[in-house]
Amino acid sequence: MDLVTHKVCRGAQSLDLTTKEFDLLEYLLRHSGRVVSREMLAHDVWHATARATPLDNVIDVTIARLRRKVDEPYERKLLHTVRGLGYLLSGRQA
Amino acid sequence: MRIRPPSVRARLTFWHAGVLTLIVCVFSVGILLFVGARLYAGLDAQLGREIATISKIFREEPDELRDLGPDWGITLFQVDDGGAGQQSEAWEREGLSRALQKGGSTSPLSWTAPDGRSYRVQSASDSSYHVAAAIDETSLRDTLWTLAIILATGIPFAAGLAIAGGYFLAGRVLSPVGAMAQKAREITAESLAKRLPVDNAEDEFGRLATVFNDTLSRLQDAFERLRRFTADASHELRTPLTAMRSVGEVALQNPLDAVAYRDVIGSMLEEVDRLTRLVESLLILTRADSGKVQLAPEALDLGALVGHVIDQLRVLADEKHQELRFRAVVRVHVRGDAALIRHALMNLIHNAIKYTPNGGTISVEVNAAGGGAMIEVRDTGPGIPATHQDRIFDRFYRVDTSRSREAGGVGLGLAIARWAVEANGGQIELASDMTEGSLFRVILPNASTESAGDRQLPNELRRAKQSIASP
Repeated sequence: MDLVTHKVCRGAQSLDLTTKEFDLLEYLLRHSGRVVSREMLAHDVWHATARATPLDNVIDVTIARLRRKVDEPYERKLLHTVRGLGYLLSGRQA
Repeated sequence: MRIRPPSVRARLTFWHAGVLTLIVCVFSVGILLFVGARLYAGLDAQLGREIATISKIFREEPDELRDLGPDWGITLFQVDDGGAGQQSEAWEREGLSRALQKGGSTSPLSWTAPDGRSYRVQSASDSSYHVAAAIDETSLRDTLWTLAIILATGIPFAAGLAIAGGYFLAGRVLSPVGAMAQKAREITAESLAKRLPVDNAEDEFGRLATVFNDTLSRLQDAFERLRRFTADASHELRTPLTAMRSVGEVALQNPLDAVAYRDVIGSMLEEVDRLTRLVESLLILTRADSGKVQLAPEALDLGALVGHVIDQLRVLADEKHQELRFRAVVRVHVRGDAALIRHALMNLIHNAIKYTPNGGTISVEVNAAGGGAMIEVRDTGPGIPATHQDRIFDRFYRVDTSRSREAGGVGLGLAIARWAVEANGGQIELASDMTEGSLFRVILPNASTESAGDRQLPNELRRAKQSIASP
């Protein structure tokens, strides 16, 4: 991931991400190996002061879209959902 | 020290009797004075006639004066011509000459003899003689005295009658108050449907009862809403609890491996999350009801704020292949609490996206309206049936219960949106003239459309900052 040029690659494949998806992926990478809750994402990536149902939906959908781009074509999944807690970006299978 | 006023009935009676007694007293004194004046006027006229007769006889036939008593009934007189003069026996006996010494005037006067009899005396003068006559006025005085006694005994009697009548009348007039109080005492939270009796809606008590009844109706509505709210809230709280219980019970009945347990715990945490969100929404509304929410009003560029919300939600519309249009017709600034207005708009637009089918269109427009700002959220969804329109902002109210629950809502979004807008002095409404889709309209007051130089810069900065934060 290149923070200056906003370019992301998985393997040799370059990924085409929106700005928000890029921010999200960057945050997940910085917290790689740790579970990231929706509250953290709302606060740190979406800069929301209060938690609201619509925003939770936005986070879920953005994660889903990011997963489609990052994980769908590949056998080894990197972006995992931890039920009840949040999301996890990790090289090993959960 | 102030005397505590007794009952209204007693006060009414007191005033009624008091005023009536006063009137009777004034009237009695008036009668007494009038009758007295009339009687004395008659007496004085008679005196005048007697003096004229005496003078005439004295001038023409002075010797006949002795016969005045038997012929004319004039028994009390005196004639003084500077010589011996003449006076009747009775005059002399009573010593009426003393009465004349007092005044010397020619107008009639009353004089009481030492023996207690009183007389009306008048004198008249000619160039050569004085004539005086008197009439016994004792019977007249008796008459007046009798009249005074009759009136004086009548006054307490009238006062007593006034008190009795007033007390009875006041009781009659005030009896609806008693009946209303009796009925009102029977009304409790459980029997709010009861109403006070209205005998005549036009009179004062009828109007009072009608006002009471209207108040009761409003109270009943408020109670009904509260009851429904409590019932709905309990129901919504029970659903996740039931889910957690059943997941836990199933997990405990069968031995599972670590992965399965993690799954169970995760599933329970999801329900906890749902509960938390619900409780948070309820807390917002409870704080709103108690009026304890501190607003932080600031100058807001409404277009930028709406644009920001739409940017955040756009991904949801994209996911459903919907077109999300945004147009700011004019640049509008309002004073308001940014967080609350953003919350309201977020709920409104999210609702529109949620209930509009795939491929639909949602258009949001910011415009100026009168002295305020107007935000319209229009969608091409199924719309809201007329029967639901007036309750759509109620808490926990859902048009289609099963479908909405599937979509994850509990029916508090619009209630919160309405409160957030109204807390900022605005209005939110559902335009009912739509044939297709729904149109929610938010009006915020105190908008300014001019973009004055000194205010433009901070707003430009804010917009720039927002676009960095959320492209």
